[in-house]
Amino acid sequence: MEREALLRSREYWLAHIQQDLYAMMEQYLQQNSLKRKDLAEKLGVSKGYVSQILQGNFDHKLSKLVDISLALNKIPLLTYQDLDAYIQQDKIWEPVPGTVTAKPVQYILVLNNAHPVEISGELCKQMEGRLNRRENPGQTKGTTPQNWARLTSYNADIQPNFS
Amino acid sequence: MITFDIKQITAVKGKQTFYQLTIDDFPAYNDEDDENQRNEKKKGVLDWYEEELEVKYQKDLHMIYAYMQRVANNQMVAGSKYHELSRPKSDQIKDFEFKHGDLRVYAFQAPGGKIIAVGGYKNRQNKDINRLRSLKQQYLDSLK
Repeated sequence: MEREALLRSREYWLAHIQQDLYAMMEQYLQQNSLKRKDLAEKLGVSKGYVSQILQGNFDHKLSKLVDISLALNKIPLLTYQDLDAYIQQDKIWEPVPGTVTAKPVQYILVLNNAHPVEISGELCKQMEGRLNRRENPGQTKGTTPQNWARLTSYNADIQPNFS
Repeated sequence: MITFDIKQITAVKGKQTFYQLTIDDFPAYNDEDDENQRNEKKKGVLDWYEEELEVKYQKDLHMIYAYMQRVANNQMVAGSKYHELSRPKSDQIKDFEFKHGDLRVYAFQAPGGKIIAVGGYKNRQNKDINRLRSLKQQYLDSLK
C-alpha cells in the first residue's frame, strides 16, 4: 500500500481518533484507580459501552464523544489541516528514534504526537512498573537506563521531561 | 529451501521500522536502481495478502495499517487490536498480532522494528500462528 493512499483513507483517521480516545480513557482509569464498572456509572452508560471504547471501537455520535471527554475532565480538540499539505509534509518527515541516557524523575506519556500529557508521581511509577513487567515478566528489578531505552519501543511511549 | 528477504513497508513511518517478509521473490533489479527502487520492486507477504484480499476487507486492512503506524510511533493501541502473542519459553523472539474485523496480520520482533510474516483471517488463527512460527524460525535459520 502506498503511504499517500493510507493517509487519504477514512479508516486511517478513524482508527487514530478511536485509539486516542481509548488511550485517554485507559489513562483516566489508571490515574483514578477506577474499574470499567465505576467509569460506566460515572458516564451513565453501560459497562459494555465502556468496554467498546476500551477496545478502540468507538463510532458513536459526536455529542457522545464530547460528553465522554468532558466527563473525563478533557476537552476534545479536533483540528483540521489541509490534506495535500499534510501529505507533502509527511514525505519529507523522517522519524528519529529517541534515546535516553539517564533515568529522569518525571516523564511525559505521549498519547498522541500533538498533545503529550505530562505524568508524574504515582501514575509515573505505575506506568514504569507496567512497562517494565512487560519487558521482564516475573522480575521485579528496577528500570536501568538500558531497560528504559528499550521500553520506548513499546506502544506506550514515555519520554524524559527535562524541562 | 526457501529464499527469504525483507522489504520495508513504506506506508508505515515511525520510530520503529516495519518490514514484510519476502519468500522466494527474485525481483529484476537494474544496476542503476537505488535502495528505494529495489525495495519497491520486491513483493512481500503483505503485498500478496493485500492483492488477494476481497474488496470488502480493504477497509479493515487500512485500519490495521493505522494500528501499525501507531505502534511504529510508540503510541498506545487497544489490546483488542494489537497484542503480543504468548509463545513457548524456548522462543526468544516476540510475536505480535494485529487485528480488525475478520483480518489478522502477524509479525515478529526485529531489531528496531517488526517483520510482518503472515496475513490471515479470524477463522484460521491457529494455522496462521503456526505458519508465523515456522516462517520466523526458517527466516532466522537463513540468517545464520
